[in-house]
Amino acid sequence: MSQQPSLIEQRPENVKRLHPDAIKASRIAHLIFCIILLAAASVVSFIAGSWLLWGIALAAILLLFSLLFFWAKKSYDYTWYWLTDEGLYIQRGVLWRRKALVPRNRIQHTDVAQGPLQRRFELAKLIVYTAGTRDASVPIDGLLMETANSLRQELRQEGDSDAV
Amino acid sequence: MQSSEERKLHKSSPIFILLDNIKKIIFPILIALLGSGGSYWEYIALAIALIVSLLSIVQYRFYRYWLEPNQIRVKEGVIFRNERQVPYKRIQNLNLSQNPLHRILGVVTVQLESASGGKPEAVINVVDMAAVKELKQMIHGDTPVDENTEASSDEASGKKPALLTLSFAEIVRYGVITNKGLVILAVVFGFLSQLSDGYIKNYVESRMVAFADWFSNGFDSFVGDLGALTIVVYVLLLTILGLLGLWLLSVSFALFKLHEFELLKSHGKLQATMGLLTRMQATIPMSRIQTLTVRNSMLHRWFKRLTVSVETAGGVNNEKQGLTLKEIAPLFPAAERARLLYQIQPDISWQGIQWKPIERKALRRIIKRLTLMSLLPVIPLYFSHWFYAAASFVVLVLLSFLYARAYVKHTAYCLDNDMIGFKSGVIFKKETYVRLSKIQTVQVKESLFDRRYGMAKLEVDTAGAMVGAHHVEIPYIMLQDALRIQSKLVERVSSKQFVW
Repeated sequence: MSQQPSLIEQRPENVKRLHPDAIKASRIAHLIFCIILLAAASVVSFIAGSWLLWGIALAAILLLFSLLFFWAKKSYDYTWYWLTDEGLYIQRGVLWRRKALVPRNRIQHTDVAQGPLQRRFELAKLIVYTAGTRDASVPIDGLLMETANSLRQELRQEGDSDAV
Repeated sequence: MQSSEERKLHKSSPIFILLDNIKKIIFPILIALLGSGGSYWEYIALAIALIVSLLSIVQYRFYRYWLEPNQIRVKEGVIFRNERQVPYKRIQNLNLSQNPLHRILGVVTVQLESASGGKPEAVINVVDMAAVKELKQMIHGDTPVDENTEASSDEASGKKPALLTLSFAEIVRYGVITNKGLVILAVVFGFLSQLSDGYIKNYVESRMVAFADWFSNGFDSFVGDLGALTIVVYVLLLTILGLLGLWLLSVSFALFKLHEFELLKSHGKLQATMGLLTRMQATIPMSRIQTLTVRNSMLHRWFKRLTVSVETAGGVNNEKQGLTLKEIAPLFPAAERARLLYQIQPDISWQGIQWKPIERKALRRIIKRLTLMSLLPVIPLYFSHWFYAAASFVVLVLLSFLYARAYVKHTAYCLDNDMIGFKSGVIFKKETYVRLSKIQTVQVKESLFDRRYGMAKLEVDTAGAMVGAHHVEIPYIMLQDALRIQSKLVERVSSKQFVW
């Protein structure tokens, strides 16, 4: 089979990536998740009174964390977005890849959201809403707050003339 | 003008509000009364529900609406007041329904839908016919967009004949094809299972046993003893009886729903009227149709019929949320396809559709996947009966080959300047068309397996799409084609403003 360029390798010059801090932020989030998981497993194995169970749980959770640790970087590597005259393109996905397109004149409104962890890194999530169903909201997570706001501004400015 | 005059509900409204409320709590009451262990608290809860529903008829006195020049204003609520304004332009569908009691009193329930999704925007329960006429005129008649089309179409013919009517025979066919009787059966069984061990259940059970006895006795005296064959004959007979019963149920269900079905077209709107006991009328502006699906199952092909359903941006997608009209043409002869589709969506060029098939290489992928899947049940069998395992594996592989070939043959897409279409299905064939102006987002998806073949899947999202319904999701096309279509679509979509 001739090796064709895959979806993720085809992108124009003006592509942008997420902020690198997004990797750190998601790793911390994963860490917290794993600690909670470990705590739950500890309680269960304490009640069951089995060190073996705890050991297995610990190993599984460590494995999970290392996978997630690796995944965070991968996920960052495979996420791109860019803006054209027609609309916003978002490419993502490590194994199952997708390239979503939201035409400018189909954007209903946009949200910029920020969690406590993201606030520490001055990161934000931009959510673009359309009138669609499955893609009613299209998020880009892990942008710098300023970037998110300016992107939102860009989307709005040129979209205004085409308001529904 | 009558613009800011305050309007109230019809005097008979409390009856219908009460009936609606009773309808909501009737099942819990029945289950509590007939089922076993009705605890003390259940009765108290029921009593409270009953009192609340009795009190709730007061809400009728607080319901007001105003027909302003370009919007309808609705004020409702007893304790929590709510005032809502819906511009006429934003109203997607207008649905009316009348059960026999409505008809006796000469009133009607009106449901207005905008594109907000979920619940209907306003339910006017109930007003008389004059008020409905006025409402319709405000919503459909006076919008500036419609005036042009109105003038031109009115000149052509005063009163148009119906686009589609369903005769009794057609309704029977519809019942057989859709087989909604299964749904009714499921509801009945669900209800029966709730009656865990009340005396009703005992009664039903004893009747069933008695029927079985009567059946087998009658059968034995009629045919005589067949020995070992008896069981086979029983199973066959029961299957036939069951199918007949199911069809009977389905047909009567269809009859209740579609009796005197009539689809009219006027002023750029489609209006369907139907129903035996509860008459329902739904109006959909044609420009508001988001997607159009032609269904053609094996039974459809048998009877040489087709079904056309549409999706609108109005969010009411299932019957629990209110009235809906999805099947705009429940059943019509396949020969009339071109005429009817043209009537429903005149701005699509139905004649020149050129289907492009999906990749031939998909055949190999599907067979591979199905073969792997058929290995799953075969492997455990292999250890006990290796011969059966081998035989069934061969049969499964053969079947999957046939399926894959049919799948690749019947899956195709088309794209022109106004619309994108997609058809798929082997037994239940479906074709879906989306006008480019209704497209919201376009996605190209590439799975792990797609990547090895340089293939991708193209998905188009529209407003008001139902979960699980047939949509434009074109699998197994070359990545380059998918990207080309995506950029072609975006070009056209961004030049077309989205008008709900």
